Amino acid sequence: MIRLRESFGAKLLAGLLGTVGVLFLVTFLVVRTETDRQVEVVARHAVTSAETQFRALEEFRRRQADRFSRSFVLGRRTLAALDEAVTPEAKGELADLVAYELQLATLEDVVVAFCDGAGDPVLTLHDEMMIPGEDPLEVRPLAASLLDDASALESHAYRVFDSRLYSVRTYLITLGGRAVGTVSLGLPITPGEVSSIGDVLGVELCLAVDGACVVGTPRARGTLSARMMSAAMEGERVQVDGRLWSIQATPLSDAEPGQGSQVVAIPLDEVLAPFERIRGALLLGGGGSFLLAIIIGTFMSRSFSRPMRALVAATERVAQGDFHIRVQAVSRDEVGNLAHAFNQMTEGLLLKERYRSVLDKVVSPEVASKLMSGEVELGGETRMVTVLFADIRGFTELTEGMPPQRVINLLNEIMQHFSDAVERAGGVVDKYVGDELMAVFGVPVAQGGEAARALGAARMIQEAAKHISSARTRRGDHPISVGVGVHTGIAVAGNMGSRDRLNYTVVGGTVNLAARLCKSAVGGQILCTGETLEAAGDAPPARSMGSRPFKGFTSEVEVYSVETGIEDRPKARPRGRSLAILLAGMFLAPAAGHAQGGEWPTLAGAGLEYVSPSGFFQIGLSGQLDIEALHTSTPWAGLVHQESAGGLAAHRLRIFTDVFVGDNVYGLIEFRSDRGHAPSDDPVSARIEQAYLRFTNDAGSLGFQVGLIPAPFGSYSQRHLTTADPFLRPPLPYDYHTVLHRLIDPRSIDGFLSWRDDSSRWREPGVPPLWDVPYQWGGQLTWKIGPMDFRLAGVNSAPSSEPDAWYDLSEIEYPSWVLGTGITLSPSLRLGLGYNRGPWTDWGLSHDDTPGATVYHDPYSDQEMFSADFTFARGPVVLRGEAILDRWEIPGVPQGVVDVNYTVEGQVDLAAGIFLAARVGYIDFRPVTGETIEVDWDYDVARYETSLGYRLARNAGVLVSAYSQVQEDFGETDTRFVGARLWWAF
Amino acid sequence: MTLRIRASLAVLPVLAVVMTAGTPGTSAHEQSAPGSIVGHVELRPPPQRRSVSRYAGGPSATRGVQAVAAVAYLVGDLPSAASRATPTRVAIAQRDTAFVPSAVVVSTGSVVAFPNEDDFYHNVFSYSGNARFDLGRYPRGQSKNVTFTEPGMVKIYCEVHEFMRAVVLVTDHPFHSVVSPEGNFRIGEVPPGSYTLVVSHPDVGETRREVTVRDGETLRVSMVLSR
Repeated sequence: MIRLRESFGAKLLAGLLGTVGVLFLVTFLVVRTETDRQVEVVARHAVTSAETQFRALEEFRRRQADRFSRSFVLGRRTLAALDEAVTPEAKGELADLVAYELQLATLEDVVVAFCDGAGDPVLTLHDEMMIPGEDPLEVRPLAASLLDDASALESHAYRVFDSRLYSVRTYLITLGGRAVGTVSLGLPITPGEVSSIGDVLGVELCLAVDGACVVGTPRARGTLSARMMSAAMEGERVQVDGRLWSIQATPLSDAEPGQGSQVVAIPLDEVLAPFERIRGALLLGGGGSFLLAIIIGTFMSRSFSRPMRALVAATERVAQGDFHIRVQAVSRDEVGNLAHAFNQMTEGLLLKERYRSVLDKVVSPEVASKLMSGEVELGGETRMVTVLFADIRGFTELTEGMPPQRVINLLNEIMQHFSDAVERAGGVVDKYVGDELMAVFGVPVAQGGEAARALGAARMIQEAAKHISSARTRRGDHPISVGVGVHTGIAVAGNMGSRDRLNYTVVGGTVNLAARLCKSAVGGQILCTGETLEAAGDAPPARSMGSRPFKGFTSEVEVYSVETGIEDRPKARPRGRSLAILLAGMFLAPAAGHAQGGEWPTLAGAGLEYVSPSGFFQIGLSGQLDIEALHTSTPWAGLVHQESAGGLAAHRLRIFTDVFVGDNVYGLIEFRSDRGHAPSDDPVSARIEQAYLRFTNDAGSLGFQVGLIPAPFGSYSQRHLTTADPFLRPPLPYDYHTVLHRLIDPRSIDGFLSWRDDSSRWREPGVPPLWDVPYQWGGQLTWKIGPMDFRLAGVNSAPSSEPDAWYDLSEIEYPSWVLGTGITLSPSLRLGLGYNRGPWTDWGLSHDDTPGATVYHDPYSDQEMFSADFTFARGPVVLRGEAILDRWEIPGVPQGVVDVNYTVEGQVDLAAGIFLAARVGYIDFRPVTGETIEVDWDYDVARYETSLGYRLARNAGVLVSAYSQVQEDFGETDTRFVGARLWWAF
Repeated sequence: MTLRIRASLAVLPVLAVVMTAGTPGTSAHEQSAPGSIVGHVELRPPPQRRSVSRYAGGPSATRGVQAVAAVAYLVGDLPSAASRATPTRVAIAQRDTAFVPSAVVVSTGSVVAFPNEDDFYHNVFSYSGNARFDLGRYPRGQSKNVTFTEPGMVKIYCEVHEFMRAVVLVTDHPFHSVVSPEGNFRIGEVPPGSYTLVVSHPDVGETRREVTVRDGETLRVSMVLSR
């Protein structure tokens, strides 16, 4: 598809997208990293804060416990009581003591446990109540650690008691340095404390022991508890109830890490919210910039590639020698400058070409090419040359009394002949001096055989002079005579003069001698020297004239006269070409009218057209006549209205009246006479088929059409009966009639089924998916912008409505709406989409006044259609396709009856005006599901069609078409159709 | 030695002629100088017709049908020596939805190229009796050639754009000219003789005039071409 190496546009696009993509990715990654980091920071902060708070509370409790314990630790009574507390009655003493102290300290919900000197629990109290059991508070290990360790006086642990968490401080009771027991004070950690920590920090806090949340904030104990319990020691992000949490667990007591943990759940939503917004904006911006990069890249590459391609094509043309080509400079950037420079270059080349051609006229081509190539040097070279002088004898007397212009013309004419002779002989005309010509052979490039060629030129000059002379004498003018002198020798050849004005010429004695020879020659004579004859070798016969003296030469020169070989020739016979010219002349005589131009007569050509003098108002008449001969194997009432199979002739006459008002208003009235659209007994139906007004803006991009218009829905409607319609019949969906009939009430399901199964009723005029091309009253708005076009229309009937509804405006309850859009992807390819919805029938129910008749409150049933089409045209081939999904509502069938239509056609131009076309159409009837029925309506139909056309002229042609139509059920109703049409657009 | 033939000069009638700079015929039997015809045609064509696509699916802007230039040419017994019509190469471009140039005269055997210089497709065709072709659709930058071998008037259209027009007159001789927008034309190098001068415009019609060209004479004609 797009090869990166070959397309600058692809490279540009790839570069842009790559840059945008990299940028986007980097930003995205950075944002994500920062998000994670921020979450971590927040979580850690929350956990640390929670811990700090908790520690603060612990500190407070410790002081409480310390104070409380003092009385036990230091008081003698405690010891005494403890000592005596071995017996249950004595325990009561201790219990009272504790209760008393508790009251003093106004503490509630405190658990107190005593152990003796051996570490055995003696008494455990909760508030004032004694708790039975060996060691309900599990203080034995606490006591043991204190008693064993000499240095420790107290310790701290957490215990769960009665499903509450207690912060337990154990103190050593000593007497005279001897440990006699321990007292453990458990202060509760209330949910209130935990909740307040949670509220202050905005987290969910939970103190968990053995995997159960003993105390915590309400949500921690509720919805979050499961996740919090299973949280690992490191931070973990979980999603609960649509909110994001970070859960972290730290051990409650560093001394006993396995004892319990403090689990903090930090809500991340607010933390992450700004990052989410950033991310969303990033995605949006990234996507947008991606799209923008694509658009800009495509646009820029197009604006670069297209002028480049144009430039390449133009350069190729220049290479082929077309210097008139110019490139359009669209932009003002480097590309535009390149285009300007290119234009200047071609102008320069053109100018150079012109100079060259001018130069060629002034100097000989060989010298011109040397000058052009820049090999211009002053100075010369010594060469062996042959010089020829020719001089018109008695020119002055000849032209005495002549007007100057005539003198010049005569001179030019004569000189033209002489220089032709010289050039044909391969020489170079050096200069003209009045009535004398000087030619040189052997410069600037020696070609060999100069002397012989010079003599040949001399003879040609004499011959030309003779011709001119005889023509002049015949006219009564004075004849001319020419003397020629030729000499071969060494001369200096080169550019003489100044650097600004050069003359490439030859100088030397050789030149002088040739000039003198010429002067010495009589009229009609060619004089040359021995050197010339020697150099010429195989020279024409020459006669010695003896030696003559010449001014400037010391010795006499041997002079020879060359035979001119001129005799009087007989008149040449007229060549055979004149006969051909005669015939061509006769053939060129134009035939009557413009028939020669390949056009049949038209009304406009006959003058049936009026244009106002200013051109503002124009009204014209035109028309089209089709004459058809048709034959079908199966009678089909709706098709061409026949009673039986066989052949028939049909006509279609259309008369158009086109009205133009200014450039923006157009009106059309079409009068048509043909067999009509609906089957009827009358084979000729004449009517006004179209009548509309169209307003367009100047650019033609916006149009509004109102009146009786061809159906806006369906791609076929827009090319019906034009040269873009290469078949005799419309495509299958527009030309086929189903069993559905608007006069039969399908509410009665029996009627529907029996009708379906009755093959004879297939030939009744039922309702087609689309009637031929409907012509409907309505308005249509079209809009073209760039490669896209849009259409919105409202018309009074649906594609399946019957023809008598098309022209009738009185019965519309609400219109059909059509939406269409298309895109021209390239000059070859266009895709289109269409939608149509509107009522296709009212079942005749609303007009039913008979008593007892059921009248529907909504008698209208809608038709809804979706279409997709494509057109591909390139070279001699045109391909088209259309698919339509067609849904009719009928009472009793809620989703309607659906059929899907497909058409594909192709046309190829074999030669000018000869085309071959083929088309396949298919209608697929979908199963019908009604309120009480389910019908597999498999009466799918296919049509295979082909046609051959020949254009007789631009506006006339013939068309032959045949199709075979196959109905899936009812095998015997395969229809064969063949027809021919002669059409003439006049 | 020059001879004075003044006397014979005085005898001959003095003709107010201007000899052209061209060369006389190369055949030896007639050495008369060719004349030329300079003409002016007053064209009264009908005001520009408009055309529009009747179906809204096609290009719907109203466009004036392209104006085509008129052509002038000779008909008659043209001597053999004079007809040295050389085949040429011409191009009729499709540019801005118009044929440029709109009228061209070529000799038989000439090749006319039809380069497409627009961004969209055209479909150049002609069904004229002497040249029938359909070039199909080709994109911008491409060109197709047509060789015209038979003389006659070829009307050229575009299938896609109904308002484009061009005319190619194919002749077997070089005595023709395209009429300029001001109405002037010049046919040079005409051998002396009597011919019919035809000025033709595809939309308006044609007009004829019998002309006689003398040696070296420039004949001036003025014609009116209207419906």
